[in-house]
Amino acid sequence: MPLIPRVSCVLCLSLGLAACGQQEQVASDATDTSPAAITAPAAPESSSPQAIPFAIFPSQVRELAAPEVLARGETIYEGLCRACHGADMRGGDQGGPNLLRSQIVLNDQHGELIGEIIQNGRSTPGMPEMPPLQVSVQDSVAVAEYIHSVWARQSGQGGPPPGETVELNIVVGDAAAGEIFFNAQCSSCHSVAGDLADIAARIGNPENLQNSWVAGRRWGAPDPNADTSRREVRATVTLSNGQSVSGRLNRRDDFIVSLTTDAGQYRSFTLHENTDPRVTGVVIADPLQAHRDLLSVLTNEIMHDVTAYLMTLE
Amino acid sequence: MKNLLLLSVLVGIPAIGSAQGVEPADLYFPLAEEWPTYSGDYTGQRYSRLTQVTKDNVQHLTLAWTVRMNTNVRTQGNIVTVQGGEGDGNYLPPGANLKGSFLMVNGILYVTSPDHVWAMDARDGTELWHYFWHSRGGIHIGNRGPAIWNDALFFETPDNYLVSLDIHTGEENWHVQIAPLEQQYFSTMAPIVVDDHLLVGTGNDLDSPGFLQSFDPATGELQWKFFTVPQNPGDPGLDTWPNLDAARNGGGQVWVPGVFDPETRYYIFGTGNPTPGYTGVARPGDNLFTCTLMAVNVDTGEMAWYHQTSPHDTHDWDSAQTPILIDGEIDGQPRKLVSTAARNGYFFTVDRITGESVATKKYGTKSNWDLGVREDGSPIPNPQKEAIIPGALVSPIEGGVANWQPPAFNPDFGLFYTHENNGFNIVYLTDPDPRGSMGLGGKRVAIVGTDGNAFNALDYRTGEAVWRHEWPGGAPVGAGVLTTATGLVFTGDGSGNLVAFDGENGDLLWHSRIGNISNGPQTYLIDGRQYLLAAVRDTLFAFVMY
Ligand code: HEC
Ligand code: HEC
Repeated sequence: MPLIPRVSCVLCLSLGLAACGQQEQVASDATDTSPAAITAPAAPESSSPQAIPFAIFPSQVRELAAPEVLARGETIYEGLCRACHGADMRGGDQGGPNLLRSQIVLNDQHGELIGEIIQNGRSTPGMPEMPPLQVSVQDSVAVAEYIHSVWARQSGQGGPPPGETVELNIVVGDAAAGEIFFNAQCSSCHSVAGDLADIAARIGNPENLQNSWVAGRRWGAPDPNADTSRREVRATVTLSNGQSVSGRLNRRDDFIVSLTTDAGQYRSFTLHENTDPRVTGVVIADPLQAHRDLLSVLTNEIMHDVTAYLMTLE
Repeated sequence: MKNLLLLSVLVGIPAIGSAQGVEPADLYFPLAEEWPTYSGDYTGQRYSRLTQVTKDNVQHLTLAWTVRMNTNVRTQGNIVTVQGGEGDGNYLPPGANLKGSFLMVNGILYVTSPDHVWAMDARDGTELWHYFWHSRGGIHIGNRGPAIWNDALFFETPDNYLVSLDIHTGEENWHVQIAPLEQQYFSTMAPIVVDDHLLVGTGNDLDSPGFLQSFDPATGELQWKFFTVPQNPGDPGLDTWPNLDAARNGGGQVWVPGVFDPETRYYIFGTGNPTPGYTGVARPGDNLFTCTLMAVNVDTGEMAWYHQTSPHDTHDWDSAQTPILIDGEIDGQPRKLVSTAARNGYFFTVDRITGESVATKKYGTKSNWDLGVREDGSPIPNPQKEAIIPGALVSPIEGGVANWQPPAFNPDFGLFYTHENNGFNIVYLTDPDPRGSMGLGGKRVAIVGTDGNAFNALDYRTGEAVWRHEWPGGAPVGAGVLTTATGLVFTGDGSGNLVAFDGENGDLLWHSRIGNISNGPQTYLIDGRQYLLAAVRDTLFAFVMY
């Protein structure tokens, strides 16, 4: 039983990178290929927003007020605040700022700061003015609690709370232009009558389809029984004694290349000059190189055209 | 603290307890035996004057010790954890996460991870004390290291406290709050000591403004606070925002240490991205002073000059990267310069007295988000490459071509060393509301590949690559860089190796497969021997030349 990862390192490194919620890249964590880490399977690719690790800000974990308080707060918000601050609290036509990122709202615990603004109004130099409003202290607390409850429904990383569904049309390209591009650039490896015949039906969602075809990655959870031979990265190592060894590439850096021969034998080679026999050449054949090369040449427009064309393949 | 000039006369190893810390005046010396501040010295060059390890003998570096940092809170035994913090004790310490610079002073290493500080014998890695901060929360993504002022050690916590410890015992001197956790600030920066100033930055991903603060290192009292985005009517830069509300919520965080020019007394640093991050529709304009290289006078907290490195960023590509001071020559004239390799894939050299642009050059060879460069040296963003509903294919990815990991500069070759990560992602706008989302919301991102990650040696005068090494493994690299007076360059390769290059031509001379390097390699000299220190996530590796 070979102790070698089933997934080629080159592939998992290029595709297994997760987006990072914070400012920092995650290269050192997500792509660790230290001996201990390499045997772990590549993380399944996901295009959904990443959860922020250890994101425990007080405003994200605060307990919400009782339902009747929130209901009261909502009524007051709708009646007194909505016109200025917007139905979704992100600011309104009458000059009220976005409350979902307001430093005062974030700092407020139970209405002590928001209530003061409701009672006294606010006129920061350079901002439109908010007049004082006739609201009881109790009702101020209720509306503050309601604001916190809406805040808590924000989607990850500061996305808006779920509101009315907006139709987002991803299929905006010209399918005919996409077909021309496909025939010129893709048909050497793919066929709309063959492997991609039902791709739109298979994947369904055009965003997933676009991500899939640009990356050259089958959509969906990795299937351990799937035939991966088409995407197998092959390596051929030639040696100073005239021999050459080929097989599936396991790993390659500047110092070592390792592969598994078709007979199932694990082989690794040191790439410095003092070995005998010496490695005189390493040729890597990566079936997905064509997809990587595409990345630098694809414009948004061509990408959308090809997606529109592939969406016709049901 | 031993410095370069005194070294020859100082012998004997002070025992712990009697060791002196770092006098502020010591920090003015160039990087040599010790590592007393984030970048080793104020220039940010990470150019060590140690000469024991050379191109000829680097392959004989030997592992001296390795230690996996112990984050357990210990109440008995040899090491009793000193505990502090404002948290309720429910926040459990995760394993160590070594993504910063560690200080080496008087034979003692000071190492940080979010909520943790350790003092260790730099000779063999023996733990001397451990401090643990009970956190109230915040994003625990990393800690970039401690600072030392006399006998006090400082570090920032994810829940935004600046903590002062006694360097001998780890006992706490004081702590002060530096930003409200309620507003979702979180703090990672290594504080920087300049004389009697302690410069402190914070981070935030939810539309609160960025600022740099200076504290009194003796008492923790605030000396000044400089906001990087306009806060009041009439503030400079306000005309690059649609209105005051947008500017006041405009981000521009200061989360990576900068450099200090003693001649002008300018602290020079880069600022973070504007917010909301991806929905730039809410903030038309250049959005000053986000994604900007700038100089602030350390004594007054006033801005002296700025050069914007990414006007109207819409990809979370802050320009917080540590810049490097270079005394160079342009067109035959000696010039005082500062250079930075920004996260957006552009390299900049500017005059560090005036901020005037000297060179702007794309080093991210796959970066595809711009429409060229303005006359003033700032790149022009391509609106087509903002998040759009049908998806924009953009390089680099959110992590950038470079990130916080420090670059290095070798003055002997005039070469600026930086990694180049060339990931591609498709960025979808999911919130087309003209008011924009908050924070990093309103988009969805799919990483679709990476093409030709490399390591670059750039000519500081032009930003042209003098040599470039493409990594065969193709992995993005999260390591910083170190260079030496013997012409070596140390970094990680993204395939689990700590590597040494010949800094002049890019030949690989040595490697050790200890795992992916998670900080910038460092070097120091003890008992006449040169050490090389690198971190792999939770473990330190110290190599030595016998
Ligand atoms: C007539 C329009 C108007 C109405 C009605 C109104 N506001 Fe405001 N509100 C504003 C304006 C304008 C500001 C900004 C004022 C300033 O900063 O000086 C503001 C500011 C605020 C702020 C502070 C935001 C910040 O971060 O500075 C809060 C909190 C707030 N409003 C809550 C409310 C609540 C709750 C209600 C309903 C009970 C309400 N407002 C009704 C216009 C309005
Ligand atoms: C040089 C050969 C080559 C070219 C040219 C090429 N591809 Fe691929 N593509 C591959 C390989 C290999 C895979 C991986 C197949 C696998 O995993 O089984 C792949 C995967 C895919 C997938 C996912 C496969 C599935 O069944 O879900 C799609 C979709 C795709 N490519 C579309 C395209 C499009 C569109 C183009 C042209 C713009 C193109 N490819 C050009 C080789 C190529």
